[in-house]
Amino acid sequence: MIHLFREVMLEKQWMGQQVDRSICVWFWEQAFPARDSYKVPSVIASPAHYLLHIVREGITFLACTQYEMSPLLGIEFLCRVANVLSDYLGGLNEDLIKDNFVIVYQLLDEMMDSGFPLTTEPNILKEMITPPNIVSRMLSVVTGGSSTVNNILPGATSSNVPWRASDLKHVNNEVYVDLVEEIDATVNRDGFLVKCEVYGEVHVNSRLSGVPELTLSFSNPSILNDIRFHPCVRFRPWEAHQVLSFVPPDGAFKLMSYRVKKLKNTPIYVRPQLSSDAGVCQVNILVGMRNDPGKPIDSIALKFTFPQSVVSSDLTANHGSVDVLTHKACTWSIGRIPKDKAPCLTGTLTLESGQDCLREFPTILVGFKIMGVAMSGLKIDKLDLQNLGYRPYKGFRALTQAACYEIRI
Amino acid sequence: MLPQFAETAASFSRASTLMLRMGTDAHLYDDPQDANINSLLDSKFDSEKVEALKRLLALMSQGCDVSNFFPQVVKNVASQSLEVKKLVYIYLVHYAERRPDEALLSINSFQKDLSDLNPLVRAWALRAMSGIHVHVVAPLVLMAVTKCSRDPSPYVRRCAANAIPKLYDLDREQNNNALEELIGLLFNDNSAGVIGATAAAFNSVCPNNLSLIGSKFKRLCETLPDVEEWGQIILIEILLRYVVAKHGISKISAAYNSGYTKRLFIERETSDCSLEHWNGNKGQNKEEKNIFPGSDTIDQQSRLLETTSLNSDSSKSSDAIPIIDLDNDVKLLLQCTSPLFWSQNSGVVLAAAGVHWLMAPMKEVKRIVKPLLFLLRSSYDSQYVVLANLATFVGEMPSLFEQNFEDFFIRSSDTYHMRAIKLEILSIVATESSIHTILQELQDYVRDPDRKFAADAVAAIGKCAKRLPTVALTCLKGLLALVRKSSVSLEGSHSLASEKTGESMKEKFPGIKAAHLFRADFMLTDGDKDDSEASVLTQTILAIKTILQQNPDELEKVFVPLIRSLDLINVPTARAIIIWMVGEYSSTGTVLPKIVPTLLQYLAACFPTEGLESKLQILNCAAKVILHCEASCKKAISLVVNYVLDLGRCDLSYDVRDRARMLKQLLAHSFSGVGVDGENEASQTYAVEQIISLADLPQCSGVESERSEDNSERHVFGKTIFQQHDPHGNLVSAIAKYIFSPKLDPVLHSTTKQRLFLPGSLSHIVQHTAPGYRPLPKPFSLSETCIPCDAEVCQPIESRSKTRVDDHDSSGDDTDYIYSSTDRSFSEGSLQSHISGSDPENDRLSDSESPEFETKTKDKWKSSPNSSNAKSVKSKILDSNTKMIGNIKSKSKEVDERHTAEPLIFLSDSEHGKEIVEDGSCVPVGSDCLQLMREDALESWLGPEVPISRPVLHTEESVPSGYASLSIGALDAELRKHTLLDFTNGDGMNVMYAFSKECSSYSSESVCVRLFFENRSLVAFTKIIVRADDSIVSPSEPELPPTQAHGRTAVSPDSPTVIPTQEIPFLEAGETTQRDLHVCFHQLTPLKLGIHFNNKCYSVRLMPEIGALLRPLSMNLIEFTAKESQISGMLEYSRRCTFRERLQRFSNVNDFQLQHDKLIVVARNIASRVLSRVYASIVSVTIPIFTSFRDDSNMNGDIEGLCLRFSGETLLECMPCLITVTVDGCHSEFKLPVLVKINCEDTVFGLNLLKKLVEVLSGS
Repeated sequence: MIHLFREVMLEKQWMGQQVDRSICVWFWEQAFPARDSYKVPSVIASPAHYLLHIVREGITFLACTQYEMSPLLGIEFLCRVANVLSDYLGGLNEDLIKDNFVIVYQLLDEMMDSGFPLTTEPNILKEMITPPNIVSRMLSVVTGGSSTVNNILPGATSSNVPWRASDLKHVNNEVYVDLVEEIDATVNRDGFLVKCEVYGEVHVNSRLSGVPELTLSFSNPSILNDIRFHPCVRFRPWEAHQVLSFVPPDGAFKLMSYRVKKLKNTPIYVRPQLSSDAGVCQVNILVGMRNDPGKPIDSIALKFTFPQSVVSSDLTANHGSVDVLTHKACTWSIGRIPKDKAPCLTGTLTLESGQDCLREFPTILVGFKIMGVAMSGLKIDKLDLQNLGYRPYKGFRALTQAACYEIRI
Repeated sequence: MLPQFAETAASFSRASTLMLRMGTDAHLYDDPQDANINSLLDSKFDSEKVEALKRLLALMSQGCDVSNFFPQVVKNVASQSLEVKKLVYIYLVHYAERRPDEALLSINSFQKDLSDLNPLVRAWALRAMSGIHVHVVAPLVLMAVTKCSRDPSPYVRRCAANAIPKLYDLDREQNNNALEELIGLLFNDNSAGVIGATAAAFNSVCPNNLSLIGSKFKRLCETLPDVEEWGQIILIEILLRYVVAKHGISKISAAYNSGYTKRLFIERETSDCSLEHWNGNKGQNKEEKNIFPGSDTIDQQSRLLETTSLNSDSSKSSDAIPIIDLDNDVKLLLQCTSPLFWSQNSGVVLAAAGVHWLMAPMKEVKRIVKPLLFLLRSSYDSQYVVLANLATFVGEMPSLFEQNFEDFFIRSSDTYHMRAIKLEILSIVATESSIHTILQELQDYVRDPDRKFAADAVAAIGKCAKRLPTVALTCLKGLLALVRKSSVSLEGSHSLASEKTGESMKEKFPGIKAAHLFRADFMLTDGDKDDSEASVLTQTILAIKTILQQNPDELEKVFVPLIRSLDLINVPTARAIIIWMVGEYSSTGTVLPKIVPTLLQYLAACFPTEGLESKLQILNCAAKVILHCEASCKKAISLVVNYVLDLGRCDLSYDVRDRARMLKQLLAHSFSGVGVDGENEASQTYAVEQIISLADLPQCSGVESERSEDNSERHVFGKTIFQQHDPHGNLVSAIAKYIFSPKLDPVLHSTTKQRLFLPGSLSHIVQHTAPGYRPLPKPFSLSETCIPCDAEVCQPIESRSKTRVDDHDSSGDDTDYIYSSTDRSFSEGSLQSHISGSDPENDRLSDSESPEFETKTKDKWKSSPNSSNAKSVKSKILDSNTKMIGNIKSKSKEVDERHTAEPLIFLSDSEHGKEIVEDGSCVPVGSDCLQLMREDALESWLGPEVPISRPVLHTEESVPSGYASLSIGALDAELRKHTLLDFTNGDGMNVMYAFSKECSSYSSESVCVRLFFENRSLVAFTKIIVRADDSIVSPSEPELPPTQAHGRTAVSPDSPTVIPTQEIPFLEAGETTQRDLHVCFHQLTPLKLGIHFNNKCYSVRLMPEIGALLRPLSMNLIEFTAKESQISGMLEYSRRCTFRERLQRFSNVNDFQLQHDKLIVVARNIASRVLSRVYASIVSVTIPIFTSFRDDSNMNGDIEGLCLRFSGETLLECMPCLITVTVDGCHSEFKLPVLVKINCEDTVFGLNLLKKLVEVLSGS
């Protein structure tokens, strides 16, 4: 199994049979005729190998295998690699990877052994290989070299809680719980709400000494449709009392993700109207608040791409700014909805000659953010800490944002 | 001011990026070669080494080959700095395969690291060591892995588990047994992390050895939730395979009930085996075949079903499907996998869902729905794979998912492939209640900018309508509107368009010209976009056609508007389909026949400008119309048809011309109204053939499916007509009528292929069998006897059954098994239990015998264990055994007679205190046959208590219970001479050398090399002396043995020490003489010697012969085995090779005698070959006596298991070196696979000796 980042960035081979780099050329040929590589399914069969890939921030993580394996294992591993790398390097881009290629190699070497994942827990990895930071870099410049490789095997590798280092000490003991929710909604061409659901994640940032036992309970757990847990969550208490009981990893992590389906309302409405006649299309899009979530709705933005047949556009808005990019992508950033007026986007689109009216209709993607509110209505009841000799600071937050909020015109 | 500020800002940002990059390895990546890597590598500072290694790594990652630095890098492997070490390991693993010899240099350092105190260092060493892909180190790695698998640190144990697949990859056959043992050991580990890695190892080494799981199943299930996610994915799969192999697919599971098995079951019950059902099952069978191996599974399952149904019939005949409770194992597995639905890892969720799908009862299988659907939202990257799997689940059980159709609605971010799968799922899950929402959604999709997707959406509408006839009308309306819209829009893309809809056909005629023009124009300027637009239209019409075929009632309502819009539709494929429909339905309904003549005229007028597909369809349509039209308008129509046919005959395309000509021929009678009496037979034959070929003609895509379906029928029809042809009948017209008769309702094929592989596998996604894909094991293939925890298995044979791998062909094996058992195991109890133990296997797997028979015999045996039946079996076995002994005996007698002194076969019983008797004192079989004939002696000889020498040996046949040791007599291996100095180089002096077997008289560490001098020149040589070619030793002081000896110990202990030869004062021309040279080799490098004579010095090289560096060490077999067990493990090296050459020569001799003791000849051959090169002493030559003899003829030729043991000790450090050569397997007469094993404490020496021996034996 090998990994390749971009065409010539990095390559790591794990199994006996070496895979030639030429496989990448083949892959790019497959990926590029279709404008972007998203057009290629994540698992494809090349003449000699099977290629799995994911794309993160313009970097393609490509794995290839010759034998039968669970494709999801490969894909999930690639995702994990991407996450760990971006965690280490503070982002993902070509330069960052090139600058820190040694660390990337060391990480990859640690994360996989003979084609099977070895240590993938970010906390342990951080103990094994020191993440690059300003201090260590300065130090290396001054002293002329310092090791990024830790020479002691982290104790967590042998413990039953592999995600947590055994002896942690923090000056300020604190734990934060964030509810981050994303609204997915689809409004069809007739203006009906076809689908509206909330995908939420519970992020916990724990800075606690020792080995704490946390118990998190919700006041209304019954509204959760689907759930997934971090490996640290014990299944039994949830099955019995719908209570999350866990020993947290140190630092920030995603405790659980959930989905609440079949919501009836969306916080804002978007009413597009398109009427086309004789090669010109009149556009009129109205945005307004539907039901007040109690907190201000921030950074509202509408995005859509003109159909191929549109030649030029002339769009103006009474609030916010409109940007039309060269590849016909239009963004209307509204920000907050003003109290006195309803934001409105008006203008015309000119169709290419020979086209009387618009036949293909774009989909508007809506983005917004509401701080302090969980749209699903999920409420955290309490967070208990056991076997601790101290009283940590506990903090709760909530955030809702639009993820896949689509308005079909 | 402002530009200045901008400048500062720019420089500031530049500075900040510099700051950011400072301290990183960016400069190394950008410019890896700007420093001298070589000198850096040799530096004594770790930091410089690190820099050099980083540079190498940068070069590597940029795709450069930097393997030429290998030696320098490998040197650093011993570094104390962990960072250097790590980097070296990365480099080493990458390039080791290309530089195997140099990679060996690092082995010692690894071995040292393996005993380091830091577990991290141990783990790294193990990982790097197993990562270097060099064949020679395989035994060492195996030892390292074995050692590390008992390491106190779980991390190291985990690395050991990870190393197993690497080792297996390196050496596919050699160490399998050892590896499997290791896997078994590691499965018992109490660290969950280790178990995960072991599962991966299991999967790559011995995925089919499910009996290994047996005893651990429960524990593995319980640790499953604690195993890390990657291990979970693999472990779930293994456990599933185990459960399927042991218990089969549970009968109340979802997969079972939705799949073919249920249908099969119902069929048997109702004994209603209609053809259609059969055909329906065919497809399912195919799937089953891919999930299970081999087609016989189906037979077995059906037989099983039969038996169960028989049982249920007898108990309660009314109940059709017997409800069998889930087995405990299955319950446990389901219970342990269900919390995994909450896992973060999509792979785990899918694997767990797969288990439930196959095993869980119907009621509980619902549980998989939500987690699977949640995967679609929660992990973006795996969506495609999850969807593909969902499509399979949905296809099998649409009812599970019909509530959740909303989850398959398409989002704008979905890729095309995902959309296609979602559409397919949507069209399957649609129900009466949800169809309206789904249709609405599909309508939205039709307006999507992605036109290919829009076309698919239209096709999906058609599918929905077909599935749910109630909505067909709604769909039709929508589709018609769509036809109008999209045809208008298509037309709109051409500026010439000016036609308006809603006009009648007659009024259209004047406009035809214009329409033709732009149609031709359309053909020319067919752009990409229009192409996809056209496909939408084609799909729409195709969908309409499908719906119409289903509801002919709606025909007129829909069809007339469609025909009206015909003129607007410019896509040839779409037009062709409509024209096909015109021909097809020309005689149905009331309105249609009336407009058809007009329509035909219109088509005739359009003909010249049509596309190829449409032209062909117009011809067909014309033929259909004329055949089915009413007599009143026949004349008018035949004129038009004739016109069309004539046009067709002048067409540019030969396809059209052929078609027209043939139709003309066929339809001749329709025009004239008279039959074709005058036609001769030949022309009729021609016509029929044409018809048949017509059926094969390539058709337009839309009509193709129907065509191909009718094809076979037509062939048959054409032939029957021709056979019973009636010279005066309207043969041709009958044919024509038949061809153009209305078609059967076609089956709409699903656009995407059915996925036939196990859900969750790679093969499932790519839709072909990926290498390494394993279908589920045969249900019930894992026999009960294999699982030791099963209490029913009787005690006496338990130990044996443990070692047995489940054998699929049980019947033959069982008899063998009985033979191999002793009298004691034939005692009633064990016999009975043996049979009952293998009972389920017999019941399920027996191919030849019916279950009733099976049970009958079983019952008999059970009820009367002392009956004649059992006795006869027993006596038969005894008979055969005595026969075998007789054979050996007679053979050895013959041998005795022939060579009274030399070869003797000695039988010895390893059970009896391992009394391996030496040659002289052994009791030959021939002389004491009576004792052996005694029954109890025989029993003990073949006794079951004989400790099975290697429990990992699974094949029952090869468990030896005794040995025959052979004496092969004295072997005098001649010395092999090598040239030291060739006379051409040495002015006529020829010197040969050979390593003599005599011990050196100077020191025990030296080898005696015999030099053969020959003077081939014409003059005499004087003062010949051979000594070390050492520049230090000046020629003035020629021989100073004591000082040299002193020098050896003091100065250079590593260089070989040479005691020079005695001087040969005078060698006449043509004379020969010998001298001994005593050399002490400290390493296996060539030795430089100087041959001095006539005051000249010739420097030569003496190659050490590794075999000569041994000294024979005599020991007996007991000592040998004791020693062997001492020097085992890490210090044991083995390799496999093929013994050839001399055997071949030998087998040419077609001598009776020789053939008879081939065994001995082979043994002699091997021994002499070994002894000629290795100066060891022979310890024993043994051959195991098999408990299960095959037939007599085999006995003579069978030399499998022949084992020769040699022993020796190294000259230098007197370390014992044991050599074992075993013949394992006898595949052909001329090639014997032999396994050479060496136990030696000196690793390097042992490996080299092994290499040499393999060379020697394989004759190269």
